[in-house]
Amino acid sequence: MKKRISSTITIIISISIVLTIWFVISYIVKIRTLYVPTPIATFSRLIDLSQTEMFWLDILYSFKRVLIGFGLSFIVAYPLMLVSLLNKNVKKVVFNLVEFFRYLPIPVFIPLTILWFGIGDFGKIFIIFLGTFAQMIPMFYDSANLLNNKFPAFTAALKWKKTDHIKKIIIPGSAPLIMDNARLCFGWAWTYLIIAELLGAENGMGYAIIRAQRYLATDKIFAYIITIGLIGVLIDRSIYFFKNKLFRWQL
Amino acid sequence: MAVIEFKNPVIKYGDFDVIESFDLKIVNGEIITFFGPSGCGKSTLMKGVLNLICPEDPSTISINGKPASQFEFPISYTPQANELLPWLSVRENIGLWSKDSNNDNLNIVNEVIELLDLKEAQDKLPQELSGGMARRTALARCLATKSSIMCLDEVLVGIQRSFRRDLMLNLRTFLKKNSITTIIISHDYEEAVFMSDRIIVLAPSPTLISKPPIKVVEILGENRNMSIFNKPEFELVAKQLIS
Repeated sequence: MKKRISSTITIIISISIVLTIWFVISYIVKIRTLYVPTPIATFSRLIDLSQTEMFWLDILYSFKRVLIGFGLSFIVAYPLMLVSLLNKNVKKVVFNLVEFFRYLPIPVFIPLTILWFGIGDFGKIFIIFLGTFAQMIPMFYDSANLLNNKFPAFTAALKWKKTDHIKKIIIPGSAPLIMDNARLCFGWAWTYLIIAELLGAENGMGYAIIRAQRYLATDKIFAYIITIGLIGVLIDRSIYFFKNKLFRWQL
Repeated sequence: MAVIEFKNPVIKYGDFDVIESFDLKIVNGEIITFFGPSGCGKSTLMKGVLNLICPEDPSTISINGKPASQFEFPISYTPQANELLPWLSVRENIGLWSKDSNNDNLNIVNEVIELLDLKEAQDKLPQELSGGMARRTALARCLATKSSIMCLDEVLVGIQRSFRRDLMLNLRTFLKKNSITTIIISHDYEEAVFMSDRIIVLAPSPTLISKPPIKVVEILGENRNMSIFNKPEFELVAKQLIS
């Protein structure tokens, strides 16, 4: 209970700091509202937006893309990580490729994806895939590898094969760590999606921001930025909550 | 024929010889205890059998006539750190080590849960157990494996004194009933005397020295019961061990 109260207090303090700075900038420094809308204008715009169908559709379109892109990335990265654990040569090949991709700035692929796939969903899903799978593999590998040297009695005394060790120890034992890694990667996926939508889309949250920019509707831009942040926090907290519900144990 | 045989294995940690000369034959169904202070090489010898450590010449530690590294069947083992899987309940941990998921498996799991008085804790996770309960779970898991060779490393450490004698009796009965060749590591003279057929007293100096084995079975006999703790013969063996 004490922990919950202290956590709530820290959240309130964090939000208050942001709001105070924002108030100071918009009411005391008095920067033109065209550049920085007031918090009140922004939140009233957000309420107006939430009553439109388009707002929810934009969220839905973005959400669909990020889920597919992230899901595909996970489906490719997780088995590749397991195969890398089984075979050192496969690990070398996979990691050589991954290390190269990991240091590439993903937004530079956006013009290419528009060229290759147009401004439809596929290009954005591809960007999310590129941005997350190369991060996922080493993160997942490190988490799973932590379990490799644990419980040595099993493999030695019981003569378990490496596949048994992976199936019975590494997969279940690393699940909470993998879920934490996935939580971080989901944040990146969300960021890459918005960047991809900003540069070329027909709908979605990023596209909504570009649409608002054309009409100098900064309050709308701010409202969408807040929405993106809130959705991110909501997803992050949800994954964290389910992780704690699913895994009562600690290594 | 000996099931386990040590033929003067040389075991090194880096450049340092831990074991140099140690000769021992353990026959089928025999319970042997390695008794001695910390650091005298008891665990190293056990790890040699488990193939967690390999001697310079692998054939110097053999099981059924083959080097221990080539022994392809599981060996039941209770490591000092328990090594319970934290995501599995007590029952699941015990079941995981036994051979198949059939009725036979279910029976043995129930039997060892009963034997080690773990019925009330069977659905708990390892982190919810006391030290003694975790130790009993590790022992139960070891027994449920039902392999022909068992290695018990300080298995009664952390177990309540009131429960220890009952547990020793049940454990010895189980091992003898199933003809399991067993190596026990212990610091505790009561455990060593009650559980063993033979006790190998070890001392570090700077490499391992083995004194002539104490043949407990010749003094206390094969069958043991609770009254044995009060017999003068028990005291005699215990005194011999302590000296």
